Amino acid sequence: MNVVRMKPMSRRAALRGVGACISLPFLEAMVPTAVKAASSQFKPLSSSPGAHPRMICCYIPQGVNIFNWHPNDSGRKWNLTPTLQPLAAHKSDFTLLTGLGHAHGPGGHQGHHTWLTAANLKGTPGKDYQNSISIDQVAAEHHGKETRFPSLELSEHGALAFNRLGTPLPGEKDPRRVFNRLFVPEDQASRKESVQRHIERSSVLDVVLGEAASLKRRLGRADQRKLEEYLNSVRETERRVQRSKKWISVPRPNVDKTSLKLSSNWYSARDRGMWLDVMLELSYLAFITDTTRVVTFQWSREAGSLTHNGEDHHALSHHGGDPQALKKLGVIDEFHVSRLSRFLSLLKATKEASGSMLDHTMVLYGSGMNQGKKGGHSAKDLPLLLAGGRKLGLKHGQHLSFEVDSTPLSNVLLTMLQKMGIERDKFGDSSGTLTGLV
Amino acid sequence: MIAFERANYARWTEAIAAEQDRYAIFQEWTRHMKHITTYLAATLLSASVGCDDTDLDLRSSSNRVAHGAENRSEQSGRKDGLASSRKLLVSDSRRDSRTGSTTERLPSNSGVRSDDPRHYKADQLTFSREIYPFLKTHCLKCHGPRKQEGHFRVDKDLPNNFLDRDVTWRWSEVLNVLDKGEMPPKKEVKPGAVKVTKITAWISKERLRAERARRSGRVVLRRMNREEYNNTIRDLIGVKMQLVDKLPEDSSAGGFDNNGGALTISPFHLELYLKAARAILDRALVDESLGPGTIKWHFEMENGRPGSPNRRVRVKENSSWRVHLNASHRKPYKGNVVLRHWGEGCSVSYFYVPRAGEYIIRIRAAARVPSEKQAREEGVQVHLRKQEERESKISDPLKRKESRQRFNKWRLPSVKRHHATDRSYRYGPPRLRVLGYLGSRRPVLAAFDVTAPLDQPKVHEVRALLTTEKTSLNFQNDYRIPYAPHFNPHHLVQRDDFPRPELFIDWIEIEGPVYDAWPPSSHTRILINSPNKGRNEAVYAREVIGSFMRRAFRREIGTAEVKPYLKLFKKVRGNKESFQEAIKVPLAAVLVSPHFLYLVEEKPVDVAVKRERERDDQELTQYQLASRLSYFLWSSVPDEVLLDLAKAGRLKGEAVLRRQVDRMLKDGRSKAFIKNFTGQWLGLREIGANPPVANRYDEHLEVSMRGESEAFFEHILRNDLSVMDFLSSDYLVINERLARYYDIRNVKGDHFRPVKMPASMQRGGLVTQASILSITSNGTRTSPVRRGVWILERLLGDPPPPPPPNVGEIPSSADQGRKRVTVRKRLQIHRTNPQCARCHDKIDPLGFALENFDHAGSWREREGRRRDSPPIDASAQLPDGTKFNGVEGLQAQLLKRKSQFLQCLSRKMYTYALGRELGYADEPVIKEAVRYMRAKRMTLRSLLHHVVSSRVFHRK
Repeated sequence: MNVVRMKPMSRRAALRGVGACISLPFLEAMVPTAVKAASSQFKPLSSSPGAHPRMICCYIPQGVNIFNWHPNDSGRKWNLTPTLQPLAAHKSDFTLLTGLGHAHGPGGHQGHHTWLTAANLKGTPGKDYQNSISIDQVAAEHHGKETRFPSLELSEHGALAFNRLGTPLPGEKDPRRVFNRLFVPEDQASRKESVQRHIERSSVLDVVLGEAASLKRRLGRADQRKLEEYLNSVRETERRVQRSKKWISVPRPNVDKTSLKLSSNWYSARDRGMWLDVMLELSYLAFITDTTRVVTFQWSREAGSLTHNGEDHHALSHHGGDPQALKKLGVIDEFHVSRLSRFLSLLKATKEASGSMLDHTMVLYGSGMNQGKKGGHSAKDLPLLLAGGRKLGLKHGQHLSFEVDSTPLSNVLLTMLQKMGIERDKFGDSSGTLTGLV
Repeated sequence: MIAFERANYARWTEAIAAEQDRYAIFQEWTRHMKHITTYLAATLLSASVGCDDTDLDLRSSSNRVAHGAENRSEQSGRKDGLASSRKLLVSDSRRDSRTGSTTERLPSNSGVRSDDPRHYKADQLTFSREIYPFLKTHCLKCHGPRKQEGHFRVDKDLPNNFLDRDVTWRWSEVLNVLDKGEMPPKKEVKPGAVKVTKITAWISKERLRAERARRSGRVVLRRMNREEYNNTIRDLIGVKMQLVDKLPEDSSAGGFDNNGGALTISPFHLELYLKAARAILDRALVDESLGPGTIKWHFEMENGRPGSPNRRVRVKENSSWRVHLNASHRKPYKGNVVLRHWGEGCSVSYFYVPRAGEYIIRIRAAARVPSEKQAREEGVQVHLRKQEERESKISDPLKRKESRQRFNKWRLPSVKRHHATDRSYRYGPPRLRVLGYLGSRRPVLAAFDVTAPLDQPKVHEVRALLTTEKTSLNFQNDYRIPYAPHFNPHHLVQRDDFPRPELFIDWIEIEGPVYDAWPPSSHTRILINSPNKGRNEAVYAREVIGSFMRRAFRREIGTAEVKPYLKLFKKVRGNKESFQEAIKVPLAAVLVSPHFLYLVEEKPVDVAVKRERERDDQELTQYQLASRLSYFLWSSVPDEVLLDLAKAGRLKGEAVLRRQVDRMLKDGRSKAFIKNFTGQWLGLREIGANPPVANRYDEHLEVSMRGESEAFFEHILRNDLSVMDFLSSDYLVINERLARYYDIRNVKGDHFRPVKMPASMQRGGLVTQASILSITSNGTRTSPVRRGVWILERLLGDPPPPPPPNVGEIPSSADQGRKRVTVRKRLQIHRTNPQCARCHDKIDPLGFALENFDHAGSWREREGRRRDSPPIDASAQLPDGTKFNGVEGLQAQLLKRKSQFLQCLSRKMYTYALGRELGYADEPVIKEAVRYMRAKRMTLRSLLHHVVSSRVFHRK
């Protein structure tokens, strides 16, 4: 590792060996073609200790090449389109959803704001932007009492999750930090000391809460609204402290990290596949240890350029119907779907109750933007698929095609909430659960 | 004007009384509005049901405001009328404030408030009586149900709802085209000037009124962004830590990430703040009894064991373990390790330092650089040697001869030409890069040029923040020879006999942690000296907390405020072994308090606040002003000087404020202003996000590019040069790397300095800097569109609207059926579409003029590498018919738009200084700032002076 000599003819090998010695962005400038990192050694466990309803929402920015995504046939007998080929093994475990969208979807590269909230961002008079709670947070409120973490937010950039105030909940992107947060005790101290630290933390929060409350009375209305974000965060953190106090005596699950590539970089094309895999592996581990039941994961930023092969994802999304650009997009989309497929395989390989883990885990995958045929940035007819959760009562192995504008995406979100065991009959602008899915 | 207004006013009053069929009109109108919100419908109804006196008064007064604004813009153009317009302006604004206050009082009497969006009423009457009929007559033909020029319909896209920012933006566009006479088009019937004025006045009035209702013209309580947080901790506590990476990226608004509205706080943030507070205090406060406990490891290269792999050098840390330096597989040269190739390095791997903190890494290094002559000649020799080696493997003498002949005929001439002419053989000094592996991060700790000759090596010092995690350090040669695939394929460049700058390392030393004293000042600044220290714990705790709070909250602290923290101290004291451990708890609470995390601008406690409105609209206190100043120019806490001035109440008056600005700019902390402002105004933060694929592009060039634009800004700021230099200058501010890149000789050293531009060169000003040229490209090709948009947005303050949905990028060359079509040509085809042309006629010419610069900012004569690649055409034509050519033409065009640029710059500066987006109400301030700058030789300093003395800077 210490001496780097570039051998002729074998730049790839050299690069792989050099690993991190060289600054990465520059490296990509030099090597425009894909240089694949070694594949993950992670193996799924054979069975899961307990069956719980779970959900993970995976967001792909800038939409997909719709020609390679959208099948011509629908119903139970339908043929996988080129982009969906990697999912061949899971065809009976997912449903492709087309024609859905949010009535108030903002369009452009803003789809992630409302993907899980169904909000009308401009619906509040006098405010340019007002979001509402996202389904993962609704589910987290319900299931959070039973798990160490109510929810887990992962994101290369941007937020999918929004709390009751509509404040974005930014995600983690560093795999190592996610691992430490989930599976490594905060300090190795004795139980007594940990309890002590929690009490301290509560007292600290009490003090600042009191301070914020008295400050609020002296502020104008706009500032008060702003401070409400803070107050809410303090209250929520306090709840978390209370919750984790309960969890002190419960030992953290013992997770072996040797096969996890925790040093994968979120910003590098070279590590892209590895990073997606390790983040999904961490989600898998969080699920199987029942550390959380709710995960949101934004795979990369809207209007960003990051891809696994050095192409500019955002520039390509303005393809204007250009066949070359569409082809390149297809490659990226298929790569993404292949990572999804790998994740589904992990879930499927693990037994849980009378089925597999996948049968108890709903995986929503898709984008908040549709490029259409001309590289538009529409919020209608979004590329979406929902996998897993058969034991929760979902029907799969089909392509459900809806007339554009006829059915709100909120119906899918509501269905998911109900299958998470939450009793409610409305979310956002839903008109009921999604026909055909249940 | 006033007479006209009165007449107008009278007519409207009349109209209200006479209006009979308005309800029908509304209904007709609503049919046109497809996506009207329920909210708007509600407003509509209320507007139609009752127009009480309050409403009436409100409308008429804001109408005057609008006309006032119009007066200003109309008359400022006329020189002779300047004095009178000033007078008018004064009288007008006075009246504004008077009537403004009457209206503001009125609603509270009647229970309706003008500054609340819930009670904002659209002026439906004027809209239906005058505005919509106008649009119907003059615009609907092309922007209506039959034709939708520019994807725009006046009957659908222009609802009377100024609360919606997008809609307001569209109205403003209407105002612009009417004002400039761009619409209706020449062939159509021209509406009368009076009529047009009425419409434009109404639009500016309405948007101002809505803005006030939305209260968007006020600074919202904002938290520190992560840069500011990092700097604040550095200056407040006195410990350097890498905190920026630990917090999530901040979102921005109005182009800057210090915007209160956009900076949100989530439980995740709070959790991170809590953790950080703990870590910061653990670092700041030390165990005095332990002593500094520094280590010092020294690695001499000649001590490496020849037999061991990579000639390992060992340092014995203690009896149980050792630290190794993996030197190199090469034989040492005169006691030096030789790093010949780019990326070749030696490393101190996998060690643990006993304590986290700042460490000094010393490297004694030297360089050997072949002269240009040597480099050129020996390069050819390498080819010859390679050919000989090739021949030696051929046994058949005939074939050997053939090979030689082929080589001499085809290869050698081009190789010779390449080595004789290529610029890259004018080598600079080698560069040493120190890379850290700290936990999961891999930061570049330092990179610098090594110039010392071999017989006089020099010691370089690098300061690095190390943690107690597993650590490695890597020392690499970072000089990259541009790879010329055709002439010097990799296997030749990688040969050891290829001439290149070489790096020698004599020894490496790691020492630390370094403290400024023992105990360090971070410790003594918190645990202050006091007679009560060690005697009376409770009193001492109050003193410690009080003094910490004063600095952390950036203001005086009331005794009552300390109480909850003191209580917290007492609560935990029993469980803690020492005072020091216990005091950390309340101090950590201070570091997550809203008074610390937010730049709180509340009314002082001792002033009774009865009405909410007063809380929002108020003069800042002295302390709040001190914070505004310091977060503006330092992105950090105010220092003692500012706080003392604030305490004495002397932070006022233009003279004092200007002196403070000058003082603060002299201070090193002002680097934060330069970095953050240019990083966002010019978009320098985007450098490296999508780096150009180019041979000459490397990391050193990348940091130099960013450095050039920052140094250019700094040069203009510190030397009080005219800001017009941003548009065009006859000098460059560059370092040696960029000089090499731009092909300028005799610039030595890595620091930036002004260099007179050679007469033959076409650069100067921001747009010709490699940084800007590369961030406005696509990675592999230039993008005239991006360049044009950059100029419009960042220099001229006239950003074009986003492209309409369902319009893609420019068609690719494949679409045109011809292989080699220039970007320019493709854009021209694209502009035949009138819908595209509307904006692109404005955008593209600006970018075309820069086509002589490639996607990495190098000069080029052809688009493409081949000899038959199409030559560059840098001519351009503006929508008004003005023709210009190339960089010089562009510079001349930009210089013509002086006031537009000054306005744009002032707007950006005000947005950054205030931490909020500017509104229509801020236009007079901007105009005033431009006037002020013009009077003061247009220096940046004058703009900063104007900002800090302006009324808006002193108010919430």
